Amino acid sequence: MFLLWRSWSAFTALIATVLTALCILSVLQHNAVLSDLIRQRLSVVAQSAASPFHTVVDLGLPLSMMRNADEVLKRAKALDDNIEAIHVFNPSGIIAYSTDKLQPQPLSREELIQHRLHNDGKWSMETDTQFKSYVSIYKDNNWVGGILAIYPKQEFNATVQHVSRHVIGATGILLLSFSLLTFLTFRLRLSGAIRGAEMLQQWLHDIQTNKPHRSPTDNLDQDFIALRDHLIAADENYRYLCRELPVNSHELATNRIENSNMVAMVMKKAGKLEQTMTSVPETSLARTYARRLAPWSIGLILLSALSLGFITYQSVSDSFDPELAKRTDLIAKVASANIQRGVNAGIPLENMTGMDDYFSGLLANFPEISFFGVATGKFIFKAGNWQHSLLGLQEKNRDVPIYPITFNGESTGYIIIDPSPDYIAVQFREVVLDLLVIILVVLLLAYEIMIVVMSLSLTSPLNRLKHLSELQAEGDFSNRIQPRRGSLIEVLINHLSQRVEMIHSRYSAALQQLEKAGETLDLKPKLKALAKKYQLKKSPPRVLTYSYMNDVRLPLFLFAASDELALSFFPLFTRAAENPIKWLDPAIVISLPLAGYLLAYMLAAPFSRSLAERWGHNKLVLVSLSAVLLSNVFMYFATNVLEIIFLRTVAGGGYALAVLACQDYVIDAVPKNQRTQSLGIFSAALFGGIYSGTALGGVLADRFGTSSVFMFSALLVLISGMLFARMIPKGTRITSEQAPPLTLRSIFTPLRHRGFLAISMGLAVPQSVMDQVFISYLFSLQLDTLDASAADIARMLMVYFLMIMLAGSLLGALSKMGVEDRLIAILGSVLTGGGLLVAAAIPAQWSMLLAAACTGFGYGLLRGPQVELALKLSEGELKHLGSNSVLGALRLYERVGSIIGLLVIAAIAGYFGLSAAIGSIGLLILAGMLLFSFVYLSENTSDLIMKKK
Amino acid sequence: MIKSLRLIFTAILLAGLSNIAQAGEKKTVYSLFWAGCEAVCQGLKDYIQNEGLEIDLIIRNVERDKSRFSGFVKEARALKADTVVTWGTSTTLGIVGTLDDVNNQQFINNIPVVFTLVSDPIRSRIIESYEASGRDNVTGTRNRVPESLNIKTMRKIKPGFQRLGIIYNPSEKNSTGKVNEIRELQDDLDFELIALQLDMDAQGKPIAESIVKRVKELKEKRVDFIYLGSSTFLEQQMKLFTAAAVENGLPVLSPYENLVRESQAYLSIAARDYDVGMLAGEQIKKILYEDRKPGELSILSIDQYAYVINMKTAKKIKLFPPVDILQIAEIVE
Repeated sequence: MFLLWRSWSAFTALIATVLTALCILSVLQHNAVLSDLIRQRLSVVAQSAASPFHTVVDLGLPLSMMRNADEVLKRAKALDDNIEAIHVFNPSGIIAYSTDKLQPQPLSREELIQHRLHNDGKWSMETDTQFKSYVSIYKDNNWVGGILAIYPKQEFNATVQHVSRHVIGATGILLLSFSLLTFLTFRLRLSGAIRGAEMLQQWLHDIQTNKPHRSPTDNLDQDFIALRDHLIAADENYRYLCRELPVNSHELATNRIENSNMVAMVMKKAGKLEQTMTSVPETSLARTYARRLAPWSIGLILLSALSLGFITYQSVSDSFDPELAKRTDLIAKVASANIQRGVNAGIPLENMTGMDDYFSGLLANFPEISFFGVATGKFIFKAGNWQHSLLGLQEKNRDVPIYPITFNGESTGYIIIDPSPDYIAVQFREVVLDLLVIILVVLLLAYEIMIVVMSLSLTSPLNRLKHLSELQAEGDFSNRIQPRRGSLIEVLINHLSQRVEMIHSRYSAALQQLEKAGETLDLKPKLKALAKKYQLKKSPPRVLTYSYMNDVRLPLFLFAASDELALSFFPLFTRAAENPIKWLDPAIVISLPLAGYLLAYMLAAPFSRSLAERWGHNKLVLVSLSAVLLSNVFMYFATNVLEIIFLRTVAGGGYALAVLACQDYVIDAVPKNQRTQSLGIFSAALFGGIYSGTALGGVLADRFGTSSVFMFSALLVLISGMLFARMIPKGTRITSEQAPPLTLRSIFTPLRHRGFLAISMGLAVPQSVMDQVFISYLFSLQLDTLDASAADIARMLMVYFLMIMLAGSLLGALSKMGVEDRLIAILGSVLTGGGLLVAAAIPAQWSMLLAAACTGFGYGLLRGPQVELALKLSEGELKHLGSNSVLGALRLYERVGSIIGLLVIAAIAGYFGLSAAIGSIGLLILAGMLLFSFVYLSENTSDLIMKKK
Repeated sequence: MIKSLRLIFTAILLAGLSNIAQAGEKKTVYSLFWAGCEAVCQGLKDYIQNEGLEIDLIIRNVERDKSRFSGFVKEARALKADTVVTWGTSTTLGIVGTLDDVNNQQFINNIPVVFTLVSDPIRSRIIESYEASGRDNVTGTRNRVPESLNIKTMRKIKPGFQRLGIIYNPSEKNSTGKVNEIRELQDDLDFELIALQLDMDAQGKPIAESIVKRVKELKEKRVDFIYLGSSTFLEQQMKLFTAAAVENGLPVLSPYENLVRESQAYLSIAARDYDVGMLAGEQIKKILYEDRKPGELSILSIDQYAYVINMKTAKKIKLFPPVDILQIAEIVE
């Protein structure tokens, strides 16, 4: 039952992680949205206070020369009893007027800078105790000052606590429920494995007590029967060797060695032994149980996440409804207060003038209101769209909010407002979409963790046991496995390893005796034959460490996420920093960190593979991550653009080396016939992380401030580094060949080869241009011209990353169906180029979404085959250059191409427009595809392709 | 060495004593008001009192009689006034003359003068610029909003605003100067100015009764608004003037707030005269107690203006201010 308990406890921990992460992120998201809503409501007050000053300034009176400004501010403050203060400030931040009679402090530089970052003249901030809403006032496009309204956070904090308690409570209940459900599910799904484990338990007991193994095979899965047979055969070989080789003095002395002592001794010895890394195909045994568990595991995680998501949505809706209603009510109060002022001054409601301008202004500033009306029994004024089909306007028939206007204590009319149902629907749609994004992020993380957990607890031990037992069944006693403490399977593995150790110990003793007797092995044909058959050597047995694709998935995911956390606000962060480069256009200054990042990536990329050869993947990754970690830590303290540029450049170099080292690890870790599939999975994990980081960065920045996000990034880098250190084995590849050194010449030489030219210029460079120029540059610009909101742009961008992940995951299926890499590459190019041409021909939000989906899917399909084809060249016609040079060259040209592409496409965009620029990339991709097809689909390509056996 | 130190010490002591003596001396401020002590005068008095300045404030009433200026000049000199304060364009011109009169002994050239309520001292050639008067002994205060602001406000209240009417007093240089100033704005601000002169008597003084006639003429010429412009005479005749306007259904925009508060003018965008007096006090303090030369001081501007609307007048002429003007205006009945 250990297997069940182990799997269940690991999975329960996973569900706990998922639900906890979802709980935290949901609460953070709720807090971010609620904070935004309150600040929007406060903005109504600020805008209401600003309106008279706008009028004054428009007429020509300076902002600070309004004699009754205090009275105006007092009226604005009266709109909400909770408002702490309202100030009027000038461009230097000095307070000109205030409702606060104690001399308020001038605005800080940080507050004033925000004015430059918000083109609509409205922004807000949040401190530990206050919300602040700012509205700028302009005269002839010159900034002449603004309004600041301040609101306390007590109400917000109370709501947040209430929602948090509710969501945390739901999380606990769901955790218990799903943990129980998991147990029941696993009990059913792992019944075969449980029986198999019982068989192994029996086997171990039999071996330890020196009894023949007799466990029945009925009710056992085929894979376990096969494993059992291997163990029996291995045991027979072992016993034969024990009989043939004499007992050594150490065994005599100890007689019976405890398993744990042996583990300790061997672990101590293993530290001094050479470790070699080998890739092993996943066994059918492991695959079977992975397949049995995976869908159910995913289903349980998904169900638990969606359940919590639904409960969270209910809490969030309950929290937002009153807030939205308050804002609508406040807007109405503002309108009715101003009309009431006129009536109080003696102006009859019917004679009120300027209402057209006034209410039009309100409708423009407050899109949540679709209609304002003034009525005295019938409408005397209307602005906006009246959505109701009432024929008369009797008070009792009304179902919209009304605000009475009185004169001398008697009702003289009323203001009617009609909230916009579309606006409110959009608000809730945003909430749902944001929650879905968070759920997806958490699910992606959960999936990666689940793969690792299953690998560590189930599939990896089974694979290793099967491999070692198969070797020993075949008579290969030359390898042992790094011992680990753990479950029954680890104990079995250790036991088999001990046997190898024991056999070699006896063989060594036999050789020593020969030497003492002055004899050689040739004189002992039987011993020699034994050594040859069972691969016995004088040197200690080789310690195998296994490398798996899954070793890097989770740390890669976390690392990629860490790099993207700051993406959404980085340009703003740069713009807000002190800029000593006054002579350069600010727009260019903002792009310099990205330029540094790309440049460092370009320079580092070619050297990744050769460094991994020299240092090992583990060391290279850890060194690179250290650089990225430090750059994030220092970025937290950075206040100056030069510092930001430098640190981002360092991060770019570190990122390049780390990610490419992981890719090289995957290439080296998996058998060749699984490379394409594995590279697809690699892309899926990488872009899953990129997606998650992009999605979370905004939420974290909103709650904790932009600088703090760099610390989160550093933390993720640290965690991923620790996982890399734990999971990537140290050592050189068992199949490593003496690769030719990487030189400047070897970087350029591959270009003379038509196959490499087809891959690099036909596939890699165009796709890199698409990724760097279309996605990172043109996409948001084009959507902005198509009036998409920032949130919608971000979501469409996420579709791109999601499609890459999906395509990467599907690569395996395509490979298994026998679809060749070159055809997959062509398909990917067609999708990418086609999607871009549609977006260029029909500029619309839907076509951009289609382009995001097509380019993402196409790019995801293409990434793996592109590398695989290059590797095949490096193992075939370009073998003299080696994989280091071929891959190094490919990576270099990708980056150089993207930089050149960025400049050219930017010029096209400047002269001919964004659609033309998008279309140009589409044409480039299709032209590249044609070049590639011409080379790779022609008759004489068999030598390039290395057909599958 | 010791002798030198003694000499230095004595000089310092004497200078200090002299300053103390000077500071202790009561200063004489000689002030002239066109029609007697009013809000500006009160503001000045209160400033001197609030600041605890040792000033003997002499107040003279010009009684609207320009012929008396030479006498005032002589008296100011005889009293050895430390500073002279003038009220309005006419008085200021009568006491200091124009830029061409810097050396003219008919005017005060060597006693500091602070002018107030001069609508356009540059156009009147009293000073060169608001940054520095260009005259060693002259400085003053500003209290008028730009005329473009008045035009824009009228257009805001009456969106179809096309014609502006002004009645002016040819004997007041500021009045004619203001008409010229408004005339220059016609093209830029797209309106037509109808300026009508008051009838004058044999002595060259304006005839009050002609106000009513002129207002009626403006009505016939279909002006949208009447602007008072700059005229002490019209200000003094505020009741007659504004009543005529109301009778003819014409709104009056006045640069003097008292016409709205105390009479029937429709709207003013103005500073309080009282604040003008306080500002004059500030200038006086700088001259007398901070040793500043008037010619070095900029013309101090009022920094607080208010829109004031007479709602009773609005109801009578059925011209109600729009909602956004109501947000910023002080309402009086």
